Amino acid sequence: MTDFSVQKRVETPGVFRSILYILCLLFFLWSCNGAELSLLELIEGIPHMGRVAGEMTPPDVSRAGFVGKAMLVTFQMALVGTVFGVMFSFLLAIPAARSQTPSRTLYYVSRFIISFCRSVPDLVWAIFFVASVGLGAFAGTLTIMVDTVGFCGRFFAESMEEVEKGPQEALSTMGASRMSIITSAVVPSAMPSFVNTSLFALEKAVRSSVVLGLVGAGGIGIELKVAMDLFQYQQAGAIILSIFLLVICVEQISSCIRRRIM
Amino acid sequence: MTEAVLLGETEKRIDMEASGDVKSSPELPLRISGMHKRYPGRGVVLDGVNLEVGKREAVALIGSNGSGKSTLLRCSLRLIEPDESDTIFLGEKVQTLGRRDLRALRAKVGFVFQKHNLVLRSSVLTNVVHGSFARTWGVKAWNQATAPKGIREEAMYCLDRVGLAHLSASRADRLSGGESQRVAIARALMQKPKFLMADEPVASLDPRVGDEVMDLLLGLTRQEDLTLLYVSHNLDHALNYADRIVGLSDHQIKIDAPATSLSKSMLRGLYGGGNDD
Repeated sequence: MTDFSVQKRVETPGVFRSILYILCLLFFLWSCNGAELSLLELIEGIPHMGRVAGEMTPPDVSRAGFVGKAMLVTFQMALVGTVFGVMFSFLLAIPAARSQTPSRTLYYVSRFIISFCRSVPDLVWAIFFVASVGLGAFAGTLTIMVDTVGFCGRFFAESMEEVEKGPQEALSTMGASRMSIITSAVVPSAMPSFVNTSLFALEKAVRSSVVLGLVGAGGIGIELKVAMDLFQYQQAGAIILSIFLLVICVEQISSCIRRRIM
Repeated sequence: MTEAVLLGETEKRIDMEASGDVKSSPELPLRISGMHKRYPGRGVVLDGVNLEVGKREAVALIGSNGSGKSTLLRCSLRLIEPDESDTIFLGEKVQTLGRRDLRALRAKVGFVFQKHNLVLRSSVLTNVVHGSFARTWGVKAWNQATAPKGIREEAMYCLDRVGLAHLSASRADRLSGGESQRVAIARALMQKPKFLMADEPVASLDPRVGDEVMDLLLGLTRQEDLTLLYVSHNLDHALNYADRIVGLSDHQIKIDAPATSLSKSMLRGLYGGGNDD
């Protein structure tokens, strides 16, 4: 019989790796302290959560028309911001894809723009745009657009890098230009991923657009803040319920589209 | 074994050319001299390969895995840059061509790949329309929907020639292997090529479909007065469909002779096999 040794089920880590694991664990425990994690306060807070939740029911639907209109604006902000964001993402993703970029400089510039859009949180963008273009839905739409560029730009570029090289080689052999190869081979192959990412971006944008109102960037968020500040919990309950319904609707529709295209 | 006897067609031509008997293109559409290619980490793949292909010839390129057959095809069109080569392809000195001229040259060469390389999410008709890339501009060859009437009709004609006009609206990822390769051939025809190259065109197909595709490929080559250079691992396909067989081994051409003068057992020598035929 051939002499062979069976691999160990679990490899024993070396000294350096063991020290690293212990340091990571200690840092996590220290972070729990920094995050003021407290089981006692959580237990004490549960009755208050129950009380606030109780005060929200039954939701006050007397302002349903007004809330519905604000929800519509919220969705419109999300939709328009996402569509323009996806368009800019696509344009930035071409030079940001290592396999498609026409030059190294453009690659780094486009990667930097995408990373910058992604690394700044949406609330910070919202504050910036409210200060720049004033209160209202336009500031929110710009915020969602920039946030979408940060999210989609990276995934679009990675999808373009991952598509099968064969069709690109075939078109190149036929004498197709770089742009023709992108439009005829890369984009159709990456399309399911583009649509998938764009739908996730829309879902994300709908959730963000609710929060953006808290800093005055339009949408339902401001209504929720006012209702909470004035302790009108039943009104707040109606707003939260409508947000929940909107998010669920968008998620269901996008899942349905995703299933059809995949 | 009889390498001295087998090695000869290309050398003969070079001697003839030196004596003025053979001119370069158009009678000699492809002439490769001293092609070297080395891949980092893999070493030398082609070591001073010389090859000539005459007009309307069907040449089979055989050799074991890694012997450099596919690299030779790709280097001749600079799809992979050779380290050194003096290639004249359809009258053009390939190494000196700029991007635009290289595209123009590639457009004259139909290339059929082992894995078909169709754009799977596009329709069959769109894939064939792509064959017109080099002679159209703008969005005309991007998609069947953007193609002018003339191009669409031409693409349908090419599909008809490979017997697949009825599948023009199907998506390429719904086709069988044989159908995909036929579409790839139709796409190559759409280029109106002067030269056809095929890199193991039937390697992924079952033997019956493989024979059908080879029949089609050679039939169209003959009908269109084209020159065909194809890579094959199937010795029967090399012997039955080629006028001439070129065998690569140890990074160099070891066999170059008319197919009629060769047998399976002679070719097996290239792979280090026995003479059992």
